[in-house]
Amino acid sequence: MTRKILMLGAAALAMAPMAAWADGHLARGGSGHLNIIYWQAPSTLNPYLSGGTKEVESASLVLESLGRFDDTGTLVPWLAAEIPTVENGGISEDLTQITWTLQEGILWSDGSAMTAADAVFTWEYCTHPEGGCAQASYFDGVESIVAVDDLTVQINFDQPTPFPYTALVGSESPIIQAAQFADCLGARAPECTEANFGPIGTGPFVVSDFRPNDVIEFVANDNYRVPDQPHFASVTFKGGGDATAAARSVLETGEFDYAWNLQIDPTILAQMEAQGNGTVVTAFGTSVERLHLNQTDPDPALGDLRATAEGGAHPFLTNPVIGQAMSMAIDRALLVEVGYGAGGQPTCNVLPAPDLYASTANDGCLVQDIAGANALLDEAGILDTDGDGIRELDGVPLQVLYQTSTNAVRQDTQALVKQWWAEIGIDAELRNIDASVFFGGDPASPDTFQKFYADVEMYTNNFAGVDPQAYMANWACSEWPSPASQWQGSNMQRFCDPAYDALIEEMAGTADLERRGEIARMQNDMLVQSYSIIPLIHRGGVSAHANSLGGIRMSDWDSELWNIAEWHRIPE
Amino acid sequence: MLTYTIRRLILAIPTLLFISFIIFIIVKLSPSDPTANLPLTIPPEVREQIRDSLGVNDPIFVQYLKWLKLMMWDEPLHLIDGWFGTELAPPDTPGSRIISYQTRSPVMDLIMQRMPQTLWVVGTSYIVGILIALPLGIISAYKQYSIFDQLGTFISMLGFSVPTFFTGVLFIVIFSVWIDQDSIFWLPSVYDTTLEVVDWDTFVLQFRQMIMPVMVLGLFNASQISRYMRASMLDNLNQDYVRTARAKGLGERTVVLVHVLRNSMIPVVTVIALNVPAVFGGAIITEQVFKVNGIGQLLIVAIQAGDVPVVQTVSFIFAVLIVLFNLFADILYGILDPRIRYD
Repeated sequence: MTRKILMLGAAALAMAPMAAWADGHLARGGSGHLNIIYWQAPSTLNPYLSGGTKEVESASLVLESLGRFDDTGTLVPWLAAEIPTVENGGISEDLTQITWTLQEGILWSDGSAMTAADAVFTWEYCTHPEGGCAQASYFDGVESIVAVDDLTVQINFDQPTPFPYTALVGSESPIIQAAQFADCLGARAPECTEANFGPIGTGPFVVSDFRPNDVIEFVANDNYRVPDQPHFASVTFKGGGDATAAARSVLETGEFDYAWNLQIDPTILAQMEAQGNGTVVTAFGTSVERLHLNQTDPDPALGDLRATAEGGAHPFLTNPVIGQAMSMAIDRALLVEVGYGAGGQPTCNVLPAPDLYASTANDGCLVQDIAGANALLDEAGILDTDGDGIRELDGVPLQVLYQTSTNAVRQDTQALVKQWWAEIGIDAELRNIDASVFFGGDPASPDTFQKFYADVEMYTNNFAGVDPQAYMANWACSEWPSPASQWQGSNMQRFCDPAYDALIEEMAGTADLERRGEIARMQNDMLVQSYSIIPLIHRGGVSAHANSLGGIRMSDWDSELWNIAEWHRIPE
Repeated sequence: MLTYTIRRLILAIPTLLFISFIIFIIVKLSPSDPTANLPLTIPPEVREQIRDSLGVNDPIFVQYLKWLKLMMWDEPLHLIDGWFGTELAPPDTPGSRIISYQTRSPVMDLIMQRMPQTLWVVGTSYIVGILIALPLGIISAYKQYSIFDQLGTFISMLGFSVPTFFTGVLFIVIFSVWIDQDSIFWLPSVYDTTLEVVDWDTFVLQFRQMIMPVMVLGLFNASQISRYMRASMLDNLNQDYVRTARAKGLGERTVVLVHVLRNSMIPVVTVIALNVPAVFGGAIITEQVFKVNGIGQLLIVAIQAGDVPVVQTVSFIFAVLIVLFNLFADILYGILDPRIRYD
């Protein structure tokens, strides 16, 4: 009896894909039409001219790169036949050269063959000095790209590059067609409106209509290399509105199949999901919402020397005991519950992923400990001597100005943190600045996150791809934003430690993955334990899809739509 | 009348130049950066290169004069070429069109692409608003303090004071969420701008998707105009000529609809004409709620993205329309009321 049931089950399992074949949902175009809504509408389909997520992800339906990162962050070959490594001879022993071999027979959607010359052209296009290419950093350190033959692309670096999978890898540096963009180099780039709005690609879909900041219509690419893909025959990619409306159109009204970036009140999102039309999905990459504690003195009395090395150290935030107490006082789990829901996890690391680089040394911060924080401060002799409820260090009261960008979730977080800090005798004054000013980087504005004319600031940062080398190098002493560098620089909290700089050096010369992981974890721990930075929340992308949509493997390492060719309609 | 019109048109030129300069300065001096919305993973050197390639770093007067020359000379030529198939405009070279920072495409093309949606939705709502407002205002005034008047006053107060982002979302919750998708009363919450009306079925689809945005805006417009209509009717109903008309033995219908209405329409027509530029301006909030990607949505997205050329060009076109329709209203006034003469 049991055996019979098992066999029946096995037979049913074996039959399942065939049933799907039978009604054609998994044939090319067999699933019909797909509706996607991005509440921020793409402005162009040329990711080299924009750099925004919405443009990169919409273009990823059309343009492809040599390799991509799947939902686990693993690099998989895409246009290339395999991933080059030192072992298979694809990367030279001195780490200055990587050789990619293209798959045979890849065609552009216009029917012409894709060759290594297109890859070379893409590099020339993006590195043209007058082009203003938004993805130029992907080609940093690339000395030349050479087409050895039609299927072989050789990338030469000007120095040993232990992680060479940047140029032409991932959704942000895809290969464009040389024939189409030949007259669009440099200053001429904006004139090629037709090419920018309808790039010819090797991907599963072809643009049939593009309306900037509004809607894109795609149809399946007849020349796509996988015979039965894409399963959808056409895609409407609608933009506009707001996140709540986008969530509603998938989870409540069912007008759309997929909605992107739903950073809305988690309780509202949960209510919508409870209607049973769709599912909320999340993917975690490297985004961390964090507090930076200014290590320099932002006192307005210093004038032009505010928040610079010359202005001197911060009167109390350079003391790690205070930073540690501030971190202990925060209930990260509650912050997630209030503001992030499924889209956030408490974290104690600046570098929370991939697994290889994630440290476990700081996990103590996950539990709020106000009593412990108070005891720590008492023990260090930082006491409230004048009875006003605020502790003093050497006569300076622990009063901080806490700034962030204007955003409902961030203001909720600010209010909660202010309350917890009040319980340990630290007074916070809250301030929020419009995001376009805060992140705008205008050297004339006093309110940018680089100038950091405050004691504490909060925002999210991450890095693209899976390799943290460049990201961890952000905290080098030389990276301080200062008047000399027009306030550009990525070491926002002005952390400086020669031992840390030595680790950056070592990382740049190490190819062994295990050792790289070890160094990255050491860097993370040094940063976190300096208490100049307080990681709060590991943030993920939140999207929603209709229950009838199958094949979704959401990735935060690449475009969310990286495997759209495999998406299909689940037969009812 | 003709000399007056010509005089006003000539006077409009310095006005518009002044307006264009003020708009430019305001937009330029506001802290906005076209690269501000890019992901933080893009390093500052690359941002600086992007700003350079957009011309953001040019001296401010150079930027203004460049824009002014394109706006006054090249873009109108392109427009004429587009309409009549001529080839007056110089061929495209770098700097021969006003280019949007976000899309890197000519701003005028964006505006032309957005115009139909806006005119359809906002224009229809304006007409619907007028059609509701006029009878409502007339009857309310004629039967002052009746139940109908009280009800009309209540509804227009409600329509005027409840913001469209509330009524819009309320309509969506009722007609798109609560009502079952298969019901004929279900209405789409997302406006499909790619829909082309080619046959009866697509016409029905277009009609259905227009109902909600048009009604939300129409109610708002109706409440505003009906108040003007009512007040103007009340002013005239107590005039001596009305008593004379009645004394002559004319029917109530003729008295109200011919004598009173014609005179009451004078200020109302002016109000309607002065509000027409707002139709072109789109309805930023309503367009956003229903995802009708019209001019209003173009403007708001451009403001958020620090896309100076788009903000400037769209605002300038509004300014031109406002100046023109002011003139138009003044002329109309003279035609409707023989007592007013400008010469």
